[in-house]
Amino acid sequence: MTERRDPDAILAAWLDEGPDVLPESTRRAIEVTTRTTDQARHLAWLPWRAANMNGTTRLALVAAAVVAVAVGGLYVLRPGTDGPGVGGSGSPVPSSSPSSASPTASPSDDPLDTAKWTTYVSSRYGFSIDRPADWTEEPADHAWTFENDSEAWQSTGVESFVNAEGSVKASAWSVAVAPGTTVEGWMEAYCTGQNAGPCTGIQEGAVDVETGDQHPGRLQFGPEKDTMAFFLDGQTMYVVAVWRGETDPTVRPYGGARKLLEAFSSTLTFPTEPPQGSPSAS
Amino acid sequence: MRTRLVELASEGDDVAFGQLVDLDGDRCYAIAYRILRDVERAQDAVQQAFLLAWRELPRLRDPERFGPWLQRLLVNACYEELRRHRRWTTRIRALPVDGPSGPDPTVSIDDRDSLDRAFQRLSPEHRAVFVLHHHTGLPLADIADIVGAPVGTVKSRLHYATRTLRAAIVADSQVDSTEARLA
Repeated sequence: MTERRDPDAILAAWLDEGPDVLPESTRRAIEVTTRTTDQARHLAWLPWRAANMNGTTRLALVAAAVVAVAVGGLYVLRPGTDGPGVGGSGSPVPSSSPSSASPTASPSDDPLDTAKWTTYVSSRYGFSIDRPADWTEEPADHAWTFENDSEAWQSTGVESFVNAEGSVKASAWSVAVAPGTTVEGWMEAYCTGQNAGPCTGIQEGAVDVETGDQHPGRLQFGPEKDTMAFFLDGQTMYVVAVWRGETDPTVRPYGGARKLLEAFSSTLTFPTEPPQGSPSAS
Repeated sequence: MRTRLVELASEGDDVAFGQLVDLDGDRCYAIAYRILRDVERAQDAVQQAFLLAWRELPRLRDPERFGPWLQRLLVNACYEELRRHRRWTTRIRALPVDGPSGPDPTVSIDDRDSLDRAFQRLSPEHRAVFVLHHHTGLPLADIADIVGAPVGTVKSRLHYATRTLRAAIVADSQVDSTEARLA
């Protein structure tokens, strides 16, 4: 005769089997990797954070900047290239400062293939944007406002997408702006809103970028700051961000934060009717 | 105390972070093992989750959210382990007998074999929900937060996983009965 068995009891017992104590070797491994791994910093805007850097980092960045300027200079001055050249036409985006040199529109080489990405339509903001198929969506739970959300990079007022590993997050949102607002002016105001540091001229390192429906914008990137693109359509500012620096290891599989952001931006389509909202900081 | 440790760790205090590992390491390992059913991969997943937690801690705005946030990193690390080793799922695995939770006499060898095979067939997402609910005892809303899916999806995953595993035991029982009758 067969004894009556309770499947749930068996299931519970089976689930309880197994180790419950993290081996000492794993603890030690975590300890060692922690000691040898730098923490990520929320470096939204480099000029502000530069003041907080240690000497070595500052020196390395200065050296990198010198090399970049030297290489850039050679590129610009070399005859017969397709580079921007001296006195080039500059950016088609209106600038708040006549003296700000505008780097040329230069999408990174070999853009990411977005053909198999999944389209996400923002019910809150009205725009549509594609995300990689295996990324998770985190819909905005309130309307982003400059006053309440500009200081919080983790604001939940943005439409966000997180990769399968949980290591890279991209976000997009829009906000109404006052008449006369320029992309560069708003970038600077956003920078200032995030911290109290110097943000004047922050837009000078930006490059041109374009949405899927051919709206021009400006893309701000750097090795240790969040990568962000800004698009102005009438009185609405659209922002797309990859919350990673260009050289962060987590964005390496995508060819860097800039390439990933360009891919997101290339799928962004503005709503036919701009979203309603009160004007924000200009 | 934990919140203070999180704050210190987010400012680069690796000793404080070590204390967080002491506080949460066992629980993370227990969860990872039960999702992955493999000691070495569970260790790798825990290590990966804590490493990522260390790196990303300065970006965590609310220290009170450290627990769910860490579990999310852990579950994602488990997913990654499962994806990375998918083609090796048939490899032989020995049940660890060290520690307080060795083989339970309630579970026969046949049950264990059936459950192991049924569990292997579940997707990573189903496994995670099942373990977080039945082993860790988390409510569905908390699980939804950790796995980044709506509560309804979590509920249906849990239902499917539980039904599949129960069915494996019942099928095993029926085979036993048939064999007993034939003997």
